[in-house]
Amino acid sequence: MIERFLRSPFTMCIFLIGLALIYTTNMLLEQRDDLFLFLYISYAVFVITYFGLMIYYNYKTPHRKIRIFTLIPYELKEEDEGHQYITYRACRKVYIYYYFAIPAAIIFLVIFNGNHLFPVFLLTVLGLGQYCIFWSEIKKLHH
Amino acid sequence: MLQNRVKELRARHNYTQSDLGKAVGATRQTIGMIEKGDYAPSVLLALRIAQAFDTKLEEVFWIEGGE
Repeated sequence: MIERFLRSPFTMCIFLIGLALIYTTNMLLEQRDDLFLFLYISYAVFVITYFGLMIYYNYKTPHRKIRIFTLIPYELKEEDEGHQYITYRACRKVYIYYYFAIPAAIIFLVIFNGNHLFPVFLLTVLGLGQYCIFWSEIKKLHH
Repeated sequence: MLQNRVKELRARHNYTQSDLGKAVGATRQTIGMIEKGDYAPSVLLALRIAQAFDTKLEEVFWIEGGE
């Protein structure tokens, strides 16, 4: 259960949404009021909990450790050839998604170029799309 | 399409998916995907599975539908 949470693309969605919200409120609010403080503390608590859980998980299951410092995203599972196949399929789908999403995003940026928050919104949506596509493929492993 | 009798043979040998996975060096999820036909195993893994059931490869896996 802990491993699923740590490796879930939806957990990565929370990281992404949190960053976008902090940036957006920072830009929108002239004074850093209670809302900003609440968001900042909540995000910090989430990050600390996430890595705390990872340390706990590594302590409890030393044979299936998750590397904390790694260039490979946590959600990629490549334990055997079945996992590698699913990861390959998921990465392929994500590549196809970006193949179309990036030109579309550029068009949207041109259309909404007056709004200085729009690029952050767009990048967040692109990222969320990536995680959702990846999740839709790797859920095959769990059913 | 690749068909298989992994589930049937596993039941006959009283193996769980995890047991079979450990015996052939694969995860429980991979065995599950093979049983459902979602994933065609490599020749090496297919041979290991047949070996775990002490039978021939073609007794476990075969092609149907001419694909």
